[in-house]
Amino acid sequence: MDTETQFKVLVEHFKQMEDTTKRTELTSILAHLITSVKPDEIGEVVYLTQGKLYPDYMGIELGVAEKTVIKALAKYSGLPEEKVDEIYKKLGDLGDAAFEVVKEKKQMTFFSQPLTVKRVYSTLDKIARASGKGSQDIKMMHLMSLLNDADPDEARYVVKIVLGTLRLGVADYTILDALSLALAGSKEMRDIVERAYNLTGDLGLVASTLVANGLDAVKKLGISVGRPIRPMLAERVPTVEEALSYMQNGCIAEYKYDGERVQIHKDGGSVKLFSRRLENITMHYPDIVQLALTYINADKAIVEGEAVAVDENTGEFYPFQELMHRRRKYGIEEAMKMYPVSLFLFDIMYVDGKELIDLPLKDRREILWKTVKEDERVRFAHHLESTNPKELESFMEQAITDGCEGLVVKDPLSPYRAGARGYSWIKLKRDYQGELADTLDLVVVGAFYGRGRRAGTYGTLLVAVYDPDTDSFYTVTKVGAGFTDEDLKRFPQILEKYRMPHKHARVVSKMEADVWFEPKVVLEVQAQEITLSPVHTAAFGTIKEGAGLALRFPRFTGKIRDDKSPEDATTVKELVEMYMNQKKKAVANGTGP
Amino acid sequence: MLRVVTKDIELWNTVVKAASALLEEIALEFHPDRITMRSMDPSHIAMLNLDWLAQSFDEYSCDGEYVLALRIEDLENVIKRASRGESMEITLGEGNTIVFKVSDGYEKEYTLHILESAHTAIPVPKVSFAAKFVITLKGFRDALDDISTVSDQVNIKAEQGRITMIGSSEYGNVKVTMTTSTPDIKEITVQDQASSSYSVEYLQKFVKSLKSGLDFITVEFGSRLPIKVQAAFDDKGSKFEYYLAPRLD
Repeated sequence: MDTETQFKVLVEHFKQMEDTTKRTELTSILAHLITSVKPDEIGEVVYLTQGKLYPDYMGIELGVAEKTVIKALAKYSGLPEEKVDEIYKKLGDLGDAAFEVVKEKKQMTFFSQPLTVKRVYSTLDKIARASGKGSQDIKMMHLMSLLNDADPDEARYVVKIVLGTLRLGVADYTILDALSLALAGSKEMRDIVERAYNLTGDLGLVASTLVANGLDAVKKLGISVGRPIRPMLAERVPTVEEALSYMQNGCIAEYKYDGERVQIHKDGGSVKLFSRRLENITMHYPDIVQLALTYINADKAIVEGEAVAVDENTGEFYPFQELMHRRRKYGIEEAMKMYPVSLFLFDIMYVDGKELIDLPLKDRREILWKTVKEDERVRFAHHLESTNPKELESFMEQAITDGCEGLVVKDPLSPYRAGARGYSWIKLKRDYQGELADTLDLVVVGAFYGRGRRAGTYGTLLVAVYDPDTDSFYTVTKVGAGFTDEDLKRFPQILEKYRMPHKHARVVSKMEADVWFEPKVVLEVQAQEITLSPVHTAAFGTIKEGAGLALRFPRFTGKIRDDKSPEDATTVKELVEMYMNQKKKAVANGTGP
Repeated sequence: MLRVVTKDIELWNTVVKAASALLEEIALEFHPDRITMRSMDPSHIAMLNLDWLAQSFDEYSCDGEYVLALRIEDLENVIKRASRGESMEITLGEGNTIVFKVSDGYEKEYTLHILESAHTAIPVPKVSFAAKFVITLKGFRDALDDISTVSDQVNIKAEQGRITMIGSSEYGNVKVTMTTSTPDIKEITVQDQASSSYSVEYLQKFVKSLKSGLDFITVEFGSRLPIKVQAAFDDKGSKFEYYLAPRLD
C-alpha cells in the first residue's frame, strides 16, 4: 500500500496545469507527473488527467448526476443539502463547492486512509460500473468513501473528474509530447509511440506499455478488432488540377458523402461502430449493425465508410444535420425510421487475421469488394479511376448534383496511414461563387458579450485554427453573423461547461476576450476571403512580418461539428494554403494586387 | 456441511435491509455455534455487527468456518420471495454457490453465486459509553421521525433520569424529552452527562430495517463518541448492533 502513489501528487500537478497559460509549461508539468508515478500507474494517470477512466471508444462513463454529488457532499459532511446547494450556486462549480464543504466537514468517521491514485481509480471504476436499480445510491456510497478520506483539494478534483468538469486541456498530442519529454525520447521513439496510438486509439495502453515494457513492446501494439483505429485524413486543395499534381500513381476519385464517417468492426456475431473521433456509436445505428452482420462475408473485419441519411421516397440524401438526429440517447427506433441510413464503404483495414493497412489502396479495395456483398443499402463509394481533369471535373459536378460535398481523390498505391493527414488523400469540395472555395471548421476559444438585441448573451465568438506542430490554437476571426435566435440561446448553454477563468494554455491570442473557453466546440464557418491582420495570431509572420491571417465577412453556417474534435479543425497550414490559392485566383482573374 | 433453518424470515429481512442501506456486498460468517457479520460502510461512518446464535434457529448445523460473500441485491430478491410463516433453509450448493429453500406447501429453491470477497476482519469500536437508555423500538422511531421534520441531525443529551433529543434548523426546533416515567422508556443509566449529534437519516435507516415485533432497543452514547443501537433478536442472546460516528456541533 505504501508503495502506491498518493492521489495528492496528481492533485498538485493538476493545480499547476490549471494555472498555466502556456502550452510548453503544460507539457513539462505533465512530463514531470509521468516521472513522479509508478510504471503500473501510468495508464490510470493518463486517463485521469484527461478526466476519464478508459479510452473514449469503450463508452464507459461515470454517469453520476449533479444531484447525487450534492447529496453525497451533504451526507458525508453533515451539512444540509440546501447549504451545499447554496455553496455550489455561489461558486458555480461543484468541485469548488466540494473544496469548501470539506473545510466545513462536521461528520466524523471511524478511521481514514490516505487516497492513492490506484484507490481513486478503482473506486471511480466501481462508480462507473454501477448500473440498474439503486445505482445512484451505490455511486453515492463509493463517492462518499473517497470524499471521506480527501482533503479539500483532493475532494475538489475527485468531484471534477466524477462530473466530467476537469478542464486541464490535456489533449492526446500533449500527452504524446509529455511522454517523449519525460522519457527523453528521440524522434524515432515519438514516431513509434504515435503509430501505436494511431492503431490502438488508446493512449493509456500505449503509455503504460512504453513505461513498463519499453519501446519494443510498443512496436508490437497493432490493430485489434473492437478497438478503433485513428482514421486516415485528407488534405484539401481547391482545384482538380492541383489535386492531380499529387497523384503520381494514377487517381481514384470517390464521392465525398455528406454523412458520418463510420468504422465498422465485425467480430463473429458482434459489431461495433466508431465515429471519426473514436467514440463508440453502435447504439445509435442498430440498422448498420444489422447490415454489417448480413453483408460482411468474413468472421472478423474492419471496414470504413460513410453513413448517409436517405429519403426513402425519393432516394435522395439528407444533409449531415439531419443524420445527426440519429445521435440521440432515447427514441433510437423512431429516429431509425425517420432517418434511415445507407452505407457507402470505401476502405478495409483488417480481415480474418490479416492487417491490410500497409497494402496499397487498390489492393485493399479489391479485398473490400470481395469481402462485402453490395445491396441497396450497402454500397461501395461511387468512384471513378481517371487522371483526366475534365472527367474528374464532370464527376465532381455529378457528385454535387447527387447531394454530395464533392470528391475525395486518392493515390491508388497509398497505404492506410492511420491518424495521418496527407496528400495521398485529397478532398475537393464545391466552389462557392465569390466566396472561399471551402468552409472552415473553427474552434471556439472565447466570446464577447453582446449588446442591443444580443445583450445578455454572447454577441460574437472568438474562433481559432489548429496547429498540430505546436498543438495550439491560433485565433483567426470573431464570428457573429449567421447566428439564429436559437443559436444565440444555445451557444451559452453549450459553452458554459468549457468556461475557464483565463485563456487556455493551448490558445494563442492577442485579443482579450470577455470569456475564455477550453477549445472543444467546433463550428463550421464560411467567409468571403482571407486577409492579413495584425490582431489575429493564425500563421502570424508567415506571410508578412507582424501580421497573421484573418477572415473577412465570416458567417456561421449553422453546423456545429460534433463529429470533429478540436484537433480535427482547419489547420494553420490549410489556412495558409487557402490564402495562397485565393491570391493565385485573384491574379488569374486580374483582380489581384 | 452447512444447514441452517429458520421460520423467522423477518429476521433475515432485518439483516438484509440494514446492510443494503450501507453496502453492496454482505459477508456472512458461519461458525459452528453462530452466524456473524461485521461490516462498515465505504465512508466509514456506520458499522453493523451481527451475532446470531445457533440456538436462535430452528435447525443449525455447521461443521466448520465459512465466509460467504453475497451481493445484497441478490439476497434481497430471495428474501422478498419468502413470506411470513414460511421456513427458509440455507445450504451450500455445487460449485461455489449457496442454496436457499423456501417452503410453505411447495418448495422454492434459489441458488446464488458466492462472491470472491476480500473480507477483512473489522474490530468493534472499544468505547466506554457515558449514557445508556432502553426504549421501545416504536418510541425511538417516533422520536427520530419528529426530529426529521426540521433537521437531518439530532443532538442527544443525557442527564440523570432524562434523555433529550433535539433537532434544530432554520425551519424550527423540535425537542423530545424522555424520563424514566415515559411509557416508552424502560431504563435510563447516566454515568456522566453527555451530549452528541448524529445523522438522523443513518439512524432512521437502521431502526426502520428492524423487525417490527422487536420490543426494546438499547441505545448507548457519549460526548463526541459514536452511538450504539442494539436490538436483541430474542431472549437467547442473538443481537444486532449498529454503530454510527458522531457529527461535530
